[in-house]
Amino acid sequence: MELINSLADVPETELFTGGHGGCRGCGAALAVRQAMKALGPRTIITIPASCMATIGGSGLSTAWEIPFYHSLFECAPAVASGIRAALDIQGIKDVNVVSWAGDAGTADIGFQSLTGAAERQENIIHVCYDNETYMNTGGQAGSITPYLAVTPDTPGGKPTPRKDMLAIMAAHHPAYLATASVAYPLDLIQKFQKAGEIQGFRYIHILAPCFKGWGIREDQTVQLARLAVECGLWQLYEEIDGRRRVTVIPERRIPVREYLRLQGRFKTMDEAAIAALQAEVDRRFQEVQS
Amino acid sequence: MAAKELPVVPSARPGTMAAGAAMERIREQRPVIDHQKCNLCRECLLYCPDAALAVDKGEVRVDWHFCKGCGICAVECPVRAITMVAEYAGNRGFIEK
Ligand code: SF4
Ligand code: SF4
Ligand code: SF4
Repeated sequence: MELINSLADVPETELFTGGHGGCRGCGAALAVRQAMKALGPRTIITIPASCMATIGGSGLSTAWEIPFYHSLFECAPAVASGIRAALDIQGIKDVNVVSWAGDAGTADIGFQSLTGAAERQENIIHVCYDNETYMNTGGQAGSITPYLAVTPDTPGGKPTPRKDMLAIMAAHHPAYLATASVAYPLDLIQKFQKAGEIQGFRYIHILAPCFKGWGIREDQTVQLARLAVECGLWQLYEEIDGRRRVTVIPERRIPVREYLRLQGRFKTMDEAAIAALQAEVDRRFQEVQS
Repeated sequence: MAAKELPVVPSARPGTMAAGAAMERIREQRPVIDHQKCNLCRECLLYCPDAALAVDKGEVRVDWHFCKGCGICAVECPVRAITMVAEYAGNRGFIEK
């Protein structure tokens, strides 16, 4: 397989077209657009209740150029497992079967079917597009909403830290596991290319900012996704058979304060909390990079 | 009838949202590209959430049916070849009698 190494080599075909119903500057739509460049037309995707499911169309019209199945909230990985089984029975081998869910459909409401599919080593790719809140239902906090983020139901800031979804998925020993970011599209595309070549259960977690939930401007979606990497909060790596390789080492490191202070949702965070987070990020950065 | 003999019934034809798109109705500002400054690096193409940008005959072009005017392309262009301008430049506020 030739990895796509330059922007000029990215296929022009749009498998998730313009005209979709996402907000201006939607990070979720951006993640899908970038990923589809690597997954290609031989892909079947299932998406549970989420922004991404609704903005891709209703029963009457769709922005997808590939088969797209809107599943219930709890069961995208189970539906994807079934699609794979149906393809296997028909002897069809060259199709990427993808369940694509938000942070709620992955880490909370969809978690039982996700852990089941991972444990069975289903031959599917599960993607979490993570905007760190339940955006499609009004921005409520979930288990991977960051510590102290203000949401409609945590007006004083979320009182508990974000659970470590990557460690949880790594504990399932998937064939492939990766983090990605909409600010690093070539890295993201290469990871989807690699995942497409591997058999077995694959998990990709994409940080995809949502301006509404984060309290930023619409044009800052990509900028914030990049700052998350540069401050060390979101590290880009992949694990094949459990062996970790860091794929992007940020050219500059910035303090987490710079990242947090641009976002309305962290307005109640005081300097002591920021210093504590900085220490945690530094420790974690060392751990992953070494 | 066996389940596998049931017909496949897609509920919508592929790409139908693209055909019916009309983002000019919701756009408040639009990107204007300075083709002298643009070096065709193609960065903006992959940062547009709405697939509104493409290189056509050696120039970056905006598909006005898709562009929602988010401004990401203008922020991300490394040589600042894109500026956002107001879609409507007339009087602000209510209409006088
Ligand atoms: S609420 Fe956020 S994630 Fe949902 S469509 Fe709008 S920008 Fe995208
Ligand atoms: S303003 Fe937004 S939607 Fe329009 S071309 Fe630029 S990035 Fe795309
Ligand atoms: S990012 Fe700027 S320089 Fe690069 S192709 Fe787009 S408009 Fe041209």
